[in-house]
Amino acid sequence: MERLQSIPKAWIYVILLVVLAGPLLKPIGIPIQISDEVRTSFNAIDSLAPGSIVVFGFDYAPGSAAEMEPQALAILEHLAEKQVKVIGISFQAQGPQMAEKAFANTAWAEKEYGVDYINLGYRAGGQAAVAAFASDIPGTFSTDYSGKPSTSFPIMQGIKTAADIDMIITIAPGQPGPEDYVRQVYGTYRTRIIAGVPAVAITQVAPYVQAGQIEGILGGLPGAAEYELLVEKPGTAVAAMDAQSLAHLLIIILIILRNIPNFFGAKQAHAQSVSNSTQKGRGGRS
Amino acid sequence: MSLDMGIWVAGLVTLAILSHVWKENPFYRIAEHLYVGISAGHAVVMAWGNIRDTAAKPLAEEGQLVWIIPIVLGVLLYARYFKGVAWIARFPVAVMVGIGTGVAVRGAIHGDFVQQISATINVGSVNDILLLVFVIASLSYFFFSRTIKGPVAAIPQLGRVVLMVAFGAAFGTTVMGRMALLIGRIQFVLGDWLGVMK
Amino acid sequence: MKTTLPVAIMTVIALIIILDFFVADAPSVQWIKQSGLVLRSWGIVISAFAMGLGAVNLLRRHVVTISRRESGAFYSVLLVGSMLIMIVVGIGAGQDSPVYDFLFSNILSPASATMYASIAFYIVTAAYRSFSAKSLESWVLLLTAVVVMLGKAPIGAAISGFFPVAADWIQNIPNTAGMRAIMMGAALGVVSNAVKMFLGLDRTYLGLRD
Repeated sequence: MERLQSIPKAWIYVILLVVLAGPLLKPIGIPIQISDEVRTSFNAIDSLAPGSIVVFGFDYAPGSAAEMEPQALAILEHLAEKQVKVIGISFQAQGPQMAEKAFANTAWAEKEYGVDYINLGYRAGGQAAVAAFASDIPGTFSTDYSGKPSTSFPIMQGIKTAADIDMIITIAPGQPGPEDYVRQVYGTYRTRIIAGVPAVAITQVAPYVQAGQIEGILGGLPGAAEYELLVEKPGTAVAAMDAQSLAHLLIIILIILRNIPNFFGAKQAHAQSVSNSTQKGRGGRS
Repeated sequence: MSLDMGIWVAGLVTLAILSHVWKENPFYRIAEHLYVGISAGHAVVMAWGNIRDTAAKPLAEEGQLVWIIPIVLGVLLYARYFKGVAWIARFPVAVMVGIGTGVAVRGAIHGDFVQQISATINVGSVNDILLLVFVIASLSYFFFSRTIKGPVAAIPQLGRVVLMVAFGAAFGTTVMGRMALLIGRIQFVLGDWLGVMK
Repeated sequence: MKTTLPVAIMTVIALIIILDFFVADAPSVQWIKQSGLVLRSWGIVISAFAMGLGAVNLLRRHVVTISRRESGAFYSVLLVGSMLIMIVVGIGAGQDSPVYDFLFSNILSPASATMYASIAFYIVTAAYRSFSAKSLESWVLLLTAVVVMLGKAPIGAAISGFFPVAADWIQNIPNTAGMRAIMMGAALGVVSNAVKMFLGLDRTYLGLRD
């Protein structure tokens, strides 16, 4: 038992790598259940009429792309199928590159730039830039990513404020993120918001979801995997789910190993305190 | 196995950064410094794009003179590097902080406070009642103005347990996220680079 | 002049932006709405200038290391060189030029992704070495974490239908309550801090320690 309490660090690293790589090389095929929150998001996006205007916030960077990109790609596939128009924006400096990559690797590559979709690039300033965007879209994003005037594109005709947008979808691992869209856009314009968040942020955005400020979320890689299944395009997230499951199991086993002495210690201590109090009680009565 | 030079460079950079887990070494430091340099360079390019498209173009091409003000303020930020006039940088900072504070205050009052209260008191099911009780209990835990004694002391105690549940959930999802990022890298190495993944 | 004026400017600007949110569309108060709009767009430009400060700080530090030939000068050359290449290529040839794209996609992207990914190793060892429950609260935290980890991955549902249901309930009820309390506290903090700044009681943003 003591040996299990003192596994060297290097061994744990190796075990982790094996646990993650194993199912990637030889998938187990643990069935993936669709959660309510992902289904809600899917249904919300599915309710968009053809020609609706969706602002897509590419608010993630390569550092978080492993979690966020599969979400973005799966949702973009759905949007392409729904024949809506997508305005790509970013409040994260490395976001426009993510947008270029995402458009190129989905059905959007076949669509017409400037008519069906556009990449308006990045604007600095964080939450203040989100506020500027909400009240003046062509002013805030006066050019597209390549520097051409945004109003020269057909897709931007008639778009002035967030009130002219049917839905905002933001894929954001941090700030500016869904919270900022809620504070600066939803508060004034009541624009529908769907948020792709990393697993780390699921618990933080939960109050906004309960309050109805965010209509639906995709949480982490499992959220992406479920969406991939809903749009019937299983990709990297679905492929990663066995590894994700086993990783969680590994951590739980390690936590249990760590806490076995506490558990037994607590039981012993509890037993001792019970016997002490019983003795005291008896003493009191006698 | 990939024959693409870019994939190979990316693969070697991945291994170099990963090697830091084992110990600090020259390969890691090379990759780390390139990463910082390229990120900083990219930030400058993006910032330049913002200044050009948002202010410089309207000023030069459409004669919108108002853009001179933010450009001058932006340049004044760099006064901090010159002794004697460094205090001038306080003006653009004041403008930036003013905008940031104004935006944050109005967003926080509405989105993070008023709407949260109305969502909490809108009770219609058992879970809604539980949510209301848990929110009140958690808020009472942060009430530091006076020590809560007597039977009502159970309320902040319940709040403490509720917060522990929230932190436990946050720990669980943090593990989930970190594992996902490592899985992404392994998928790249085994799939895109070595081509051994199906 | 050096302190009071910046505080006054900051306060007026912040109040205009706050008021903008509350005023109606009446013509007499349109100037507030218009001023708020203009100020927010200025914020983008000034923030963009501020992004350059980081690069200048990096340059200053590493150019000194190189010129003094201190240890690590080689790495500083790599940092400064790669930064300058990005700037020259990005501004000169554009971000879609092959060199820019190569450096972004094949060095920045994998390096950044791996940096964040390597935290997984530390979180595993931390869970194993430090996640020791010794009180009721720590047991609550630990058990919640376990249920959430099982419920949020496919493995949970494969073991028992209880885990996804329990994880959802934890996320939607107690977690939402706890996070909401923290959020509401933070919102009050934002407001009270703003008031302190308006009154000139907090001037740390100007680099002044009172």
